Amino acid sequence: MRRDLTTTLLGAATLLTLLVAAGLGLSAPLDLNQGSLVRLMFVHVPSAWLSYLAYGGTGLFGLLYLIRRERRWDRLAMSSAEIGVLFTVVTIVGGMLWAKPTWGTYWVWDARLTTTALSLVVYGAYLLIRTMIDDPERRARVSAVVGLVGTLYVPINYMAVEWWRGVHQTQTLKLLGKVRFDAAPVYGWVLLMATLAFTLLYFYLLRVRGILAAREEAREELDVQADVSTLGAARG
Amino acid sequence: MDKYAWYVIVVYVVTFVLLGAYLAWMWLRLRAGTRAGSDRP
Repeated sequence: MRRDLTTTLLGAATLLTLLVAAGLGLSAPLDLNQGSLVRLMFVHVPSAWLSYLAYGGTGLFGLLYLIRRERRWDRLAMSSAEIGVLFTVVTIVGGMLWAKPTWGTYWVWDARLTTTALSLVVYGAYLLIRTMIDDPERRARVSAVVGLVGTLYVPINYMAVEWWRGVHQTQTLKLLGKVRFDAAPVYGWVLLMATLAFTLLYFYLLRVRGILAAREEAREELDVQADVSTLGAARG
Repeated sequence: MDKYAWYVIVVYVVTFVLLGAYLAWMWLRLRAGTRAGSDRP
């Protein structure tokens, strides 16, 4: 494997910020009501943020593919969707383990939880569709459209707690209207650090997955060319 | 630490294990690709 300085530096920065964020998260003061459960939020919230970022990326890269018709945008869109699915699973696992001692159950069909689970269906379908279409151009085009439509998930999921009130609390960080953070400032700083770490993690994973996808695509094209030339030689 | 500590530990462990598994999977595929490339005539 060739050494890539940017990837190595990005990886080192990601690892460092993740370790600092995990250290801060695990040593944050206990909450008066939640006790140590509040420390779980420093993984749950940044994971949800990362999945938003990843799904937003899938839509953006898909759009760039439709405009520019360059395959690298399709590879990045696919990589981003895969990362989004992974971190949606992390978000759901964290949420369920927070819900059990807080709500008394692992799962309720609350609007936020339901839309989060639906994102797994949408992006699971996105990744499945890609395996079902052989023609690379058509695959990229169809998945770009699915990815673009799927991006609607982000605002719907973010606003679900406002539009359909359920058991899930409303946003701790309100971005619309007057920006507000409804928790102790110390938790805000830890969350900020964890969010920065997970943002770097997204870019690192996207870069590595993008490199992998590019190499696999190049190899597949070489294999196809080899098959075509073998067939041509056999026909004589 | 209190009675909820295990929930917290499990979430941190699951998160980092999943992340590690994904990185390992990518690394293995990158390595397999490099080998296949070097085997090509």
